[in-house]
Amino acid sequence: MKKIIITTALLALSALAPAQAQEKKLNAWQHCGIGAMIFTDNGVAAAISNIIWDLGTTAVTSASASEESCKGNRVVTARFVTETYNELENEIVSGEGAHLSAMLTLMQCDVAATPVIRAQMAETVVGSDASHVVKAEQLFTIAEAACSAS
Amino acid sequence: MKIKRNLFFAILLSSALQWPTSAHANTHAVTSSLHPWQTNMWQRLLHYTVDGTTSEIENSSFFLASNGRYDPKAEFDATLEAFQSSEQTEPDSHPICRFPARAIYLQQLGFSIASPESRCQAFNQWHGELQDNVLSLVYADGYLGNPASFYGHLLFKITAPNAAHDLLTNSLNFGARVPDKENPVVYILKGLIGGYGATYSSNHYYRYNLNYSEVEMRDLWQYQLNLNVEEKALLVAHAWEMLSTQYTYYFTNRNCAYHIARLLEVVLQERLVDEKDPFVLPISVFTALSMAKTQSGQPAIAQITRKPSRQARFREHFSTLPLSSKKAIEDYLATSDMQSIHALDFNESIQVFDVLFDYIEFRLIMEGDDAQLLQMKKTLQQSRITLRIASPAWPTPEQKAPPHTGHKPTLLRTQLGSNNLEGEFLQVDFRPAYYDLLSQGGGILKNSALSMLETAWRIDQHGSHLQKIDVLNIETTDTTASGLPGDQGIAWKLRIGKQRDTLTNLTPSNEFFAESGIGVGAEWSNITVYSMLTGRIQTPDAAESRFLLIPSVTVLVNWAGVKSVCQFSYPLRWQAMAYQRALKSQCGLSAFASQTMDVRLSIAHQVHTELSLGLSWYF
Repeated sequence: MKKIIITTALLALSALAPAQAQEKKLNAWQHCGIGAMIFTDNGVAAAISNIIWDLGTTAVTSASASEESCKGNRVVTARFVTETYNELENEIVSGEGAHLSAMLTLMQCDVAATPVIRAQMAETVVGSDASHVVKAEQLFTIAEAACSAS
Repeated sequence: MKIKRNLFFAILLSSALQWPTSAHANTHAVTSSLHPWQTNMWQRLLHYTVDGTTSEIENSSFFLASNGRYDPKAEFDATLEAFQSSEQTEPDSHPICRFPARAIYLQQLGFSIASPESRCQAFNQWHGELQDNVLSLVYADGYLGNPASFYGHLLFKITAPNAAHDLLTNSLNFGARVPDKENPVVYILKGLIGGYGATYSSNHYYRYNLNYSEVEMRDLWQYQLNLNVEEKALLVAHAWEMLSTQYTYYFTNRNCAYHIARLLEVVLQERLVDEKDPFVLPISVFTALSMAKTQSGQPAIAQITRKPSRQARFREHFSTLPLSSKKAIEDYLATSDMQSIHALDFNESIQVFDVLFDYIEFRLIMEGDDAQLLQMKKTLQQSRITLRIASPAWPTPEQKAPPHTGHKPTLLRTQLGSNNLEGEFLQVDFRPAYYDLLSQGGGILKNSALSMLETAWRIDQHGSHLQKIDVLNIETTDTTASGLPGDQGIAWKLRIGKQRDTLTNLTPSNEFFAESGIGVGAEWSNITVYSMLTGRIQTPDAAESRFLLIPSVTVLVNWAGVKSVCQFSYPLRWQAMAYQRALKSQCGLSAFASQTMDVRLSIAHQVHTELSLGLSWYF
């Protein structure tokens, strides 16, 4: 019985593996249009401020990736980080907040990663003159690395 | 044969599934003689009109029978057949997964139907863990930055117990499909005449929170529904079904409020809105909900919570700071030197950082990109990140009256009065929506007036007259501003319409006009004062005046349930003679106010004097 369970689990994992590997390789900013999202001067996504008018349909323009692969959890997280970057940045600076917790939840990451993310952000992102989208991608990379290590 | 047998059981069972009766529920009475397709539940799941002849859902893909939109029985038969079909399909494309609420209802009737939970992965993923989550209706306060949002907005939301998960739950929005960069005038016109299609859409709640609360600075009121497990399952399944429906959008009565109310009605005894109502406003749904009962006979609302907007949060936090912290903020903004912030103790300093972050984001949204503000933000972040992780403790947010406690939106008022030039008169006022400076209760912008198409007819000894029509009237003063740079709070007004002047020697006059004013205001306890300078352009009056400049002072007092306002203005006409420049004084008060009525007394004097007493009915 134990053998059957283990075999089934391995089969399930092997079936999932290519999809996960494919999603890992996917750069949401380049392949799923997040990098091309338009932000107003103060960093608010045009797609967000337009919710009332366009019903909030998510503007994922998929250039080279299939629409399906752009619906994965990693891409959802990338979009969340980009759209709420202003809130995330302030919360990371303070060390706590609902958006920060939500990002960690999406990354299936323990809250123990927060000090590492905070330290990395202090070193490279906070205070930089990079654009909103670039800073969001930097935060995503820092958080993903900190979560893998924790 | 199997269908017929099941129908027989369904008819028997329908008597056991009768809707609870109540004083308001006469439209829901189900007798054992009804077939399942004739029950209120089936009619509501398919959004048929009350007479049961046509579904308000317009896309044929929502119906499994070719004439399902017009034939509840045909749709019932087709649904049952599709649900019991053994034809193999992809799990999520099976009719049960497209119409899980119908499946739940048919299961309740005793039909042998697979459970949506057991085979519909996408649906399960969408609603998350229902055991822990609750369902809510969210009201976003009125917003004067977009005509479509003057009267507030509402969303259906799956609510998670903690704030982080709550941002990631799904929410349902309803609105018109409007092309990008649509001209606002075209938008309003097409919205009024049914020029747009409309649909529901689903998004993570963080997007709505960001849009409404953080960017548009609107308080969000969460009305948590008091549903049991079965009701939650049915409502969330019906919400899922709504994602594949299409409608024609009418700004006044087939809007977000109407259709989200229709969605909720599947778990309520009462109808929340009447399909014949010419105006259906979001606030009307919350008022009806506050009096409604669930199918299981419980009050429909379990709890109401307010989430202050970014602006409200910043101002409320600033107002609770000790003087030393306020002084530290003012010093920093004046000198860019953080010495006074660092001189505070740790708890006070992190409170100050918190307030300053909200203040800067608020100003960036209001003023757009500003190099100085961005630099300030960077400097503050670099300083705060060196301090240890901690959240400042804040007092409980200010308690405000929930939106549904204000008067109902539509007004009919009868006034009896006397004018020393024209004699006694009877006047009837009608306002489709929404409130004026004397309105009381929740759901309105404080010290403000907002109305569209407010009309007054007057009958006196000379005949009947259109006394006034306000195509649009907005007047507001912001007295909660912090006083910090960029947050001074202004008073402003915009009014377009036509009005008879019965207070000067220029009568009879009846000018079309547009006027706009700007000023400042302040508040002390229950007294609000604001002054304004208004410019007015009009069709020539009896003195051939086309342009006026009107300085004014307004005093509002709210005391012991009586609200009063006095407005003193001095209209300056370029061409007018001295006697036409008399001070104009208008005072009014509102007493015995409830959600459905109030009594109004008003007196006005310029060259002539007018006094009136009115009884208002709100509905």
